[in-house]
Amino acid sequence: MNRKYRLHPGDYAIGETEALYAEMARLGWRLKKRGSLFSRFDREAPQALRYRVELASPGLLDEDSSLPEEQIALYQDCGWTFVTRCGLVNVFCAPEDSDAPEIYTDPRQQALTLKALSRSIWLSWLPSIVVLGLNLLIALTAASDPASAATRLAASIAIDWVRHTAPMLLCAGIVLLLLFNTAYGAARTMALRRRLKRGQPLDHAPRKRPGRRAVHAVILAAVALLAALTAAQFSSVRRSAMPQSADGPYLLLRDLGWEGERIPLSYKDKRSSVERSCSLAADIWDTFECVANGRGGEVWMYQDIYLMRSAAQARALVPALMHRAALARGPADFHPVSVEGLDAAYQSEMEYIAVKDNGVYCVTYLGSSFPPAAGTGDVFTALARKLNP
Amino acid sequence: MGEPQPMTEAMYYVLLALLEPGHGYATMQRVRDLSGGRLMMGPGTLYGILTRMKKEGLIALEAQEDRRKTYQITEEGRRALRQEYRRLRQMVRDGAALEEET
Repeated sequence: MNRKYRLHPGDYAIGETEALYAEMARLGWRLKKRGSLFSRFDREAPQALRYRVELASPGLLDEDSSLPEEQIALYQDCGWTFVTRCGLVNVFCAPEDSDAPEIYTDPRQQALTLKALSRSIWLSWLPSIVVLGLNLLIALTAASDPASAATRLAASIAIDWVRHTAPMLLCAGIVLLLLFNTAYGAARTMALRRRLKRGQPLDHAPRKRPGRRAVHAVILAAVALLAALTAAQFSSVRRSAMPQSADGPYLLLRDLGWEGERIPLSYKDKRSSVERSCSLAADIWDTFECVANGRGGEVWMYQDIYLMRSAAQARALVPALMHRAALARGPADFHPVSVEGLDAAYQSEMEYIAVKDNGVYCVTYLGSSFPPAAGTGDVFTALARKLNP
Repeated sequence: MGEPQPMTEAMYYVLLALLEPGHGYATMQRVRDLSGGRLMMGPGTLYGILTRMKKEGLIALEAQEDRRKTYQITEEGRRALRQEYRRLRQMVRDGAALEEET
């Protein structure tokens, strides 16, 4: 194989980058291209080369971040060959035994080139913060009651945490990794700037930094593990047509006295189905069932069931579910119902929330009001019967 | 306007070198010759100084050939150079007592 890619140090690690490229050249791998994360090397005869990184210093609003042609020409006149560039980083090389003078003989002059790098490290977060801030601002100002909108947002996050634990942890891990890199890069850049300003030249062959590598490796390993867990969570989702007998802790309309034939929902072609998924926080069942009510109409029922890891977690989820109820406006719309065989039960017209041990059962059930029918069973009673066989 | 700041050694020699027009590499060579080989200036250091002095109006573009630009000292630059020369000469005179000491 005549081509190799290697993860290179961050833009702030100037000495490490130069040392890496020189080492690769010594081993017969010559730098050809530098990307955002990886550098490309081609197989060539081993050679002792000196590499030097020159940082471009564009203004805040400059679109072009390349070095001026005049500067490159001056370096070439002095024996330095321009190799490649990516972002602010420009790489030059010269044979180890050549007369090419050191690019910076005055470290204080080199300190000035770190200004744009320092700025770019801090500004790299700006777009994300602005977009996030704007979204929050729009969501809160669009709501008639910002406090309740914020509570609903918090409830959504709590429910998403239960439903998508691994993906949310993965996102948090990636954000942590990026934050660590930003903070570390900013600290290293400031330290290097101070060193150069003091007149101490840059270390072109720095020692390895095992502490930083260890922290980075731990975060990377955690992110890789969470990526695997995320993949496992997504692959655990099983969606199927609803069976005639319940294959999980959910109710069937038959349990409520409806013996009609299953039919698609009249106003959209939605069929009775069961979706089962498993997150780190819960086993989840989402069901929908619709049957003919025998009078030319239909009866339907939605259920979201969370089998949490503990009873305490199950009870803690209830307020979030009340806030995110499809029809009720919040916990104030729910009233407690005492049901034998259930730990807790709350109802708001068509919506029912029950807790039994570590399970939380959310049911949206209209009954048969179109046309009305008598004799249909009660959701809580049917649940208590099912959960206490 | 405040008192002009003393020049760095590198700035002083670059201005001295640009009494005759020259492009970057030629200026580096001239600095080395003028300082008797004592001051070896790297291209990064020189480019930074040229950029700064151009911004301050001490030097100006004289000609451009391909990617190489030729610079020359301006009147403002000459004034600053003379002022610095006088300052350095005065400092040497002030230190003459050291000669007698040795």
